[in-house]
Amino acid sequence: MDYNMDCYHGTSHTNTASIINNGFRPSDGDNEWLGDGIYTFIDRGLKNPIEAAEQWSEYRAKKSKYQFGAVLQLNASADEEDIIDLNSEDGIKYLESLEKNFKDKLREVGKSIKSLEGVLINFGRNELGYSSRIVIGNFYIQLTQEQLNLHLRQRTPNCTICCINDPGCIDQSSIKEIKQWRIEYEVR
Amino acid sequence: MKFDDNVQKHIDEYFNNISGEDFARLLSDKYHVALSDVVSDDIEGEKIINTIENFSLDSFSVADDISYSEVISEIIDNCGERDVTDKLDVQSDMTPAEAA
Repeated sequence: MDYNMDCYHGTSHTNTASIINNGFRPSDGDNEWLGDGIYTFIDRGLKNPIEAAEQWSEYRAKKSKYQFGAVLQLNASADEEDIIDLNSEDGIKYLESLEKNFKDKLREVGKSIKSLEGVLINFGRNELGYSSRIVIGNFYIQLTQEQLNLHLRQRTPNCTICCINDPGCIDQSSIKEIKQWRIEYEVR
Repeated sequence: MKFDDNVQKHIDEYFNNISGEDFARLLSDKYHVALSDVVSDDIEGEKIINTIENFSLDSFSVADDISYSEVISEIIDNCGERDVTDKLDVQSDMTPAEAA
């Protein structure tokens, strides 16, 4: 394998045993940023991925109301040809080519499309055969309560997401819980 | 992945061989994409342009610090429109103060 990386996934402690024993359940849906897959944070010089995963778990806890958060570490690998890196010139050109063709084709029938990235990735994989077992991209994500409260939106990315579409890229034996904590809820 | 001429050719060939109707149907049926009518989008774009044009610059408390691009971004965020900037051929780099 050309690429081997440590990935970090924020979740609830309740899910940990099931993930370690049975594997991840990929998110699916074309509204996902990088298409279908298992969403993790990786280190590409932006936000510390462990901290990002912890904050993501906290964010999810507010919605799902779980008591204990967890950060899982896992190792993923794939050949270069199976990775779409949207921080690379090749990845950008690929996405731009798809988007241009999408919009041109839809314009023929008087239609337009909005939310795109996840659809483009899934479409390229399913219809055009580009494997994209792993997709990497930088995003700005509101992770802290302060960012959420202030509705901070920046074009400058603050973290790197690694979406693992093919669970076979994950070394199942590498999955381990590296952090667990009680979620603190505000008392009103 | 490497993006080279072969990949570009492959993508272009796919789109050359599918009709707009079939493509729109595929996106809708398989990818659950809600496609917008371009005409209605243009109408929405017109509304937003009119909103900006009618916007009183005096209402900015710190007019010198607010640019049109920030106003447009705010409107886009509030409207949920992502491609409306294409329709807004305004002086995006000018501040309201400069425009006034």
